[in-house]
Amino acid sequence: MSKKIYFLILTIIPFLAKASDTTLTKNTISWNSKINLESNALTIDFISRMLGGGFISDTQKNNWISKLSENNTLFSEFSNNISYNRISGKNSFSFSVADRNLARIAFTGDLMKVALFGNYNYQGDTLLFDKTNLNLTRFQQVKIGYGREFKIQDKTVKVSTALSYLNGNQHLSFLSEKASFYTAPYGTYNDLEYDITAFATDTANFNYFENNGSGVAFDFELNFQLKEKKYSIYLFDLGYINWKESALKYNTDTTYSFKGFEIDNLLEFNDSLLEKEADQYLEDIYLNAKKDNIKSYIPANFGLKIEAPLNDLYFNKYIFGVNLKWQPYQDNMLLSLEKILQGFYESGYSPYFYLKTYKQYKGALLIPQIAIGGYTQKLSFGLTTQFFKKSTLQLGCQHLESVFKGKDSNALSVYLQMRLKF
Amino acid sequence: MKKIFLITLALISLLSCKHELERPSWNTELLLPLVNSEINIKDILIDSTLNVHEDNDGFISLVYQQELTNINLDTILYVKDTLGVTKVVLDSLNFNDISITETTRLGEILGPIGRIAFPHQSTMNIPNMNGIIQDNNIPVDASDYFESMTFYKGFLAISMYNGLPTELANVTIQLADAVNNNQIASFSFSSIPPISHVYDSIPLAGQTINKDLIAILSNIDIMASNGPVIINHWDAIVLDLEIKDIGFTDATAIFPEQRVAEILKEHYIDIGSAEIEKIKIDKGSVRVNSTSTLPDTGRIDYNIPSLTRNGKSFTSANIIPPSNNGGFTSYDYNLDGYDIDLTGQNGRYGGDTINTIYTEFFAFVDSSGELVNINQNDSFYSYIDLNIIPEYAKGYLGQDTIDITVDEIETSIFRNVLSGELDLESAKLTFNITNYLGADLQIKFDQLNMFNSITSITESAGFDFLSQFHTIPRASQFGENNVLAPTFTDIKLDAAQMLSILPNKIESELKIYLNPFGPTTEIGFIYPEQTLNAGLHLEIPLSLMANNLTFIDTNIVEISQNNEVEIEKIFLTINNGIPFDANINVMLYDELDNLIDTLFNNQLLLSAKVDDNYLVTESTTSTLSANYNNSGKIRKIITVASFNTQPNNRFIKIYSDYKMDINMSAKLRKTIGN
Repeated sequence: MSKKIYFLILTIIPFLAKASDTTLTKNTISWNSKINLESNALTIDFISRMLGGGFISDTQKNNWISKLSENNTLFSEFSNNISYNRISGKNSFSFSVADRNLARIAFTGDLMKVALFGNYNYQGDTLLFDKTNLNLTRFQQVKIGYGREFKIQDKTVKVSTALSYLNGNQHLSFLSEKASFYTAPYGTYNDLEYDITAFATDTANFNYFENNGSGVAFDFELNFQLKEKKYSIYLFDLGYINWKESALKYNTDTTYSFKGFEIDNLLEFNDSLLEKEADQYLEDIYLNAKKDNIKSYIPANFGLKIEAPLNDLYFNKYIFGVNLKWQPYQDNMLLSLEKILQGFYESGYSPYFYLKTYKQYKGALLIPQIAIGGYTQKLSFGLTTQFFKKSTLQLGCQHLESVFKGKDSNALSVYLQMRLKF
Repeated sequence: MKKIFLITLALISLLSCKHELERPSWNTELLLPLVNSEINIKDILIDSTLNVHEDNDGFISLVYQQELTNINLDTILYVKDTLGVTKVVLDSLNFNDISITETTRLGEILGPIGRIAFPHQSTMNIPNMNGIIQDNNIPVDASDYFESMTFYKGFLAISMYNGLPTELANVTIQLADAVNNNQIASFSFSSIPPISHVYDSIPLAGQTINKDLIAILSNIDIMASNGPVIINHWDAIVLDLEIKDIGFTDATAIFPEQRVAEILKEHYIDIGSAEIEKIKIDKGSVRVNSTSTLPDTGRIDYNIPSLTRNGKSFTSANIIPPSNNGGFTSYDYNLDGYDIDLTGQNGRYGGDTINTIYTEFFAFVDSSGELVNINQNDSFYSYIDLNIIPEYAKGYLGQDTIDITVDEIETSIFRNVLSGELDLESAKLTFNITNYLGADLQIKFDQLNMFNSITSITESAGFDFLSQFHTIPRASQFGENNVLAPTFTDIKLDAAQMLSILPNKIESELKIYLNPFGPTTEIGFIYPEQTLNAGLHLEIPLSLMANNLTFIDTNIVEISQNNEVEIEKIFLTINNGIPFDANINVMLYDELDNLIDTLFNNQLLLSAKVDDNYLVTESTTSTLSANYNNSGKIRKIITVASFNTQPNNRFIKIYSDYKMDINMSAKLRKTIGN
């Protein structure tokens, strides 16, 4: 791993050295930190309780469950990024290193019910857990980018590309495409139908920057201007990580009816019999697990945005855009239209439409935003405040409504950017 | 500076928002099946002594078997273990005749002057020479034969030969002890013609003779010859002394090797009324125990011609060393595989007999070449130990009456039944008698009761049964190897009434009559290891009426309340395919037998549904629920269940496919996050 990083750094240094000789260069060093927590159903109350602890009452559980939909998604990202950009005439170069922690959970309302209440109150009911997915990934992303401006019929077109090396640390995924759970009256039997694909990296290698897998990601962006409007079409972080074979992969697809442990002589019942039977079941499960490698995708962003000046009393310009995310659960088919659609659907991310406007005040630049879609699939309001002009400090929030909704909000978002230009 | 301050402030604000994370927790109520079990009627009823049989229709009968006894009939074959005591006194000890010869030459008689006067080979007249020999002592040495000898019989004989050419007259000879000059004998001969013998003897009974003797020639006269005779100085008078036909009471002598006793004897063995001709020994030994008072080594040859193996009879030679303190010398001989012929001595007068062993006893005195002192009271003393485990015996086993008293036999048929009423449509009690004896038998029960020790109720088999004599035919043997073919006889009675008291004990007392009809032409036999087996076989067809038939069952278990999962409620879902209603009580106890909880209290389990023929047509599902309120360790579960057949006024038949599906599930409270 370290050799790869050294190689990349050494590859970058000549670009930097050459760029420093020109008087037309613009150098920027940025630090970005982002905390983003979004769900279409779970509230901050749920998340804060899960993170902050404390006893959860039945009232709270009922409140949370009442807000669940058929398919529920929770996404979070905690990331820190440091980047360097250099614009040298028509060329631009970039280098960034990011530490990213992504979590995405998709589940049904029934799963939440049984998780919070147990199955006692659902005797005679079939609870559905289809499309249940848990995906936790931590990785470092080292990105090198290059951009260039082209003149086409008096129009300036800028094409930017970047290639990332992904150093996979830890990955835990659990996917059940189809699952259901039935509890017979008086619990005489439980029917469990499920298919499960689970994967866990080697927990023996649990250091922060342990290399348990490697991957690549690709960026592409096209910017052009028509009249006063700037258009941008982009594709960011289209990539994957191949996890090492030392991890455990568990695959099963079964229908299982559990009537209790079968005892030859009930009158000689002893809990040691249960332990013995349980151990046998666990042993069977362990036998089904095998070491294997797996490919996981990081969330890719596709989008289009339009930036135009405004001669408005209040706002200087606006940006309107739409963003899509692509992240299939697993690498289960070759690239095709179906695979592309699968990635969009399984990302749990609705098309995110947003409108930003810019208002410059004396001490700060305010960038309010209104959006709909995304992981919350709801209307959201954002606000970014930028201080200073040359070297800037940005503090922002994409879900300002959470301040008003409080614990009933479905999202929490904060980001910080410090940018030093020289 | 201002920028740096602002940046620092912003970072501190963010980092200071670190929240002390706690684990969330919430309660869940889980409903899980714990165990399931399919119990059929066999599972309910079976235990180590109770078997379940079913016929082609699946109708079930309970079969209880118990070996009453392997009746010990070893009194039939009692072999006396000591073949008498043999004492042999040495009054018949032999001692060879003793002969001592003394020769006196003419030259010695004449002396030096006489030899001049009567030259050798001259022809001269011999004149009268009175008193030519007077008081001439001739030492007689008997030390080659004895040191001393006290006679109770015997003779001292003297023989005198006159080898001179003229007559001897007035011959007087005395034999005296050389030590004390005591005279032993005196002989007188008035005339001994030339070239002739004279002979005389005296009895020695009561005399003691030592080895050093003197023969005293008190007087010998030489008579004148009839004319001239040739004078030969070598002519001699020969004196022979002989002790013969010796019988002594005490002797210090060198005894020759000799057999001192021979006892050929038949031993009658007391085997009661049995008349045994042959015994095959499985394991056995004989010990020859002997001692003697002899100062010399003795030997006993003990033979038992009646005892043979591979055609060779038993013989033994037992050296008996001198015994200082009367201790016995014992010799052991293995008798495994020997046959004992009990018909007596081979070729005996009057023909073969029975129960008789023929033995031979020979006692020997060995010669050591040394002087030993033997008294007529010296003796050999011997006895024989026989230790025999017969493999079999052949012969008529006799007539006998054997009392078999079986105090009380515990039965476990109804051991789990606490109370209630049980009516059985039928029950067959059979005593299986296996006779391995070559003898006819008769069995009569003097007593046969079933007893319930809890209710103290006794039920007898009844007069009709107790008055019967049951004949048991004899076993037989066939083939060259005498393969044993026992007979099997069943003694049956209807025990339904006896079982209605739910007995836990059987009391019986019986007599066995051996050869009740006397001897037959068939040869009898007995294999002591296997004589007569009696087993109890109880067959109970499960066609019954039960009225509150209450079972109790105690199970030792180890069930602990899990700290992570709390059991709130237990559900027992029973799909009953057996035509019994049941009231169920389940109690939980700790290791000190303290009642922790009553799990199910008189909860009703419904009977399966039956048709007009009282056959089960449909199972009935009952769910019993119980709150589970214990936090301690359960060590014992006591289940008390009262059963009622449905309908309860009819005999209900139980079939093997009747079963219960039992599912135990639990409502669990699990606090997630704790």
